[in-house]
Amino acid sequence: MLRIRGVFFSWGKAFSLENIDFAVDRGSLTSLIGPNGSGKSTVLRIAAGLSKPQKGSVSLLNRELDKIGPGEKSKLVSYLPQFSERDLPFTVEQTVLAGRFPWLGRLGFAGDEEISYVKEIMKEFGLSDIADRSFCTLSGGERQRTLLASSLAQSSVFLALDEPTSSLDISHQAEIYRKLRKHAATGTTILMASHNISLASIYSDEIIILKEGKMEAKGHPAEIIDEKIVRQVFGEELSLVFQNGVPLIFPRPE
Amino acid sequence: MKTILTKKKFLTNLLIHAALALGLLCISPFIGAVPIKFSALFGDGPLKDIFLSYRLPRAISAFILGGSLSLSGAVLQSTLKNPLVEPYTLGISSVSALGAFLASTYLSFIPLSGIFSSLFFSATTLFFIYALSARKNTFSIHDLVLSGITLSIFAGSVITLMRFVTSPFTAGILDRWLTGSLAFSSWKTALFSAVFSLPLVLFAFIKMNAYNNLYFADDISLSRGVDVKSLQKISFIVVSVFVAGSVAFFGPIGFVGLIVPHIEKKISGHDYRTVLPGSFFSGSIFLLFADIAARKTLQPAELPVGVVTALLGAPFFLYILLFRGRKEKH
Repeated sequence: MLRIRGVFFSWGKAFSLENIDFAVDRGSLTSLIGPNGSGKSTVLRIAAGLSKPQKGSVSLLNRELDKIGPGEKSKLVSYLPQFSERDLPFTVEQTVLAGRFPWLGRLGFAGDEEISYVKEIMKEFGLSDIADRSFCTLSGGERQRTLLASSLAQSSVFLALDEPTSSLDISHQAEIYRKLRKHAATGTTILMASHNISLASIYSDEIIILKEGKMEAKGHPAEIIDEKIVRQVFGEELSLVFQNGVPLIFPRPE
Repeated sequence: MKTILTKKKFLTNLLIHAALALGLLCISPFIGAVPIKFSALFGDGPLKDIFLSYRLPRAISAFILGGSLSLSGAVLQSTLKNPLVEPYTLGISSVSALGAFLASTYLSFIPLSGIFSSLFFSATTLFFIYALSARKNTFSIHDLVLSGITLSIFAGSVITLMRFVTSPFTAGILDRWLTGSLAFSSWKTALFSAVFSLPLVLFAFIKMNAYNNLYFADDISLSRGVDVKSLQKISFIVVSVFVAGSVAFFGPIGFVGLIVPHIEKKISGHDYRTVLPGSFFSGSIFLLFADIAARKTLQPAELPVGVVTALLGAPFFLYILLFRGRKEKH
């Protein structure tokens, strides 16, 4: 489905990605894990075709990503950047419908089918009751859910999400992971950056661990997460325990 | 889903705006230092001549010019993501007027040199501003306007200086290169303003839903298939062409593009599919009224219409700058 081959990308002297090489299967949920500055966002942007790597290639459905025109690509790939407290002068339903942009006509009028599709997605993300609320009046969590719903409304086959749950409380986070899991089960391929190693381990098919622009490990969460790699990637001060097979990471008490 | 813009709401908005603007367009030529009665159009007399060869083309010029000035303000506010910008506050109008002035004073032997020089100056300024605004980390939205005002003052001073150099005794007279006026209207100016507005009006209409994406982060727009850079660049080109054409014939007319889209967004929301057509027709209404005020206030003498728009626009600009610009990014 998505294949990244030998990607090298540098951003001045300060940061570079080296030899990023992985494939993601259709209908799978893959999480990118790593400390701040490890290159998660850059890998996502490259996978979504927003940044062009200096070396290497990205292909989607066996086609070179940069050979796909912008109109067609927008129906295949949807990208949600890291959440920022940016105001939008729209209501929730207007914002979610904006995600349908690639599928609507030039002037963007939505027919009955489109409207019911948007309604369904708003219902799924618990936004139905606040559909006509202005985006500016929403809480951080509601904003993030609205933007995520808007990304899903784009109904692309591949979703690149940059920390889509960063402003949510733990139960909402888990709920979003479950929903993404469900979307993956229906054939959507999802690659996302995550800071929550436990949730990512529970719900992801595979995890990719990044450190300083290099891939440290890739595989099924249970197979690759151990004390050694956690210390190596995130620091010596951390402890790892497994609870019912789920890795929990926390600072070691002094 | 009551906040979604349907085709019906869109058309209603468009038709109400268009009807009001066209209504005023029909009434305004009858108003003036000498009122003209409707019946006068059916006789033979000087009033009919005044109506047909002067008042009517002037009203049509005001209609097109006001609409496009307002539209160019709305388009620039969207593409530069800044509520304070329009051709005049960015300094494009004044610099463009300097270009037109220089060419029509020193290169008048070359046909159309005024327009081409005006176009060169407006496009250069706009792309210069774009390059500056792209340096987001060091350049705030207020800096953009500050540099625009500086450019305006500088261009105005150069025009005044050149006039003193060439003809020291008549230089004190305010002229259209400093403050725009509709006094030079004719069928020719009406036609030319239509020609120079056309690319802007067509492009803005085709892209009005694409402009909505510019409210979002650029990466989101790109992922939706909106080519943000080319949308910005073509917008700048069509705005430059319009500003150059309008300034070459009428001089700089300020603040229409600031006041009208701002009020339009307050009335009918921020969706550019209502803002852009609404701003066009409301801009026509605004400039037609401003022109009536310019002709009637000191009649039989006439004020340049740029004075009227500046008297209204400057306090409005300050209000947005001080109270709204910081909070409202759109």
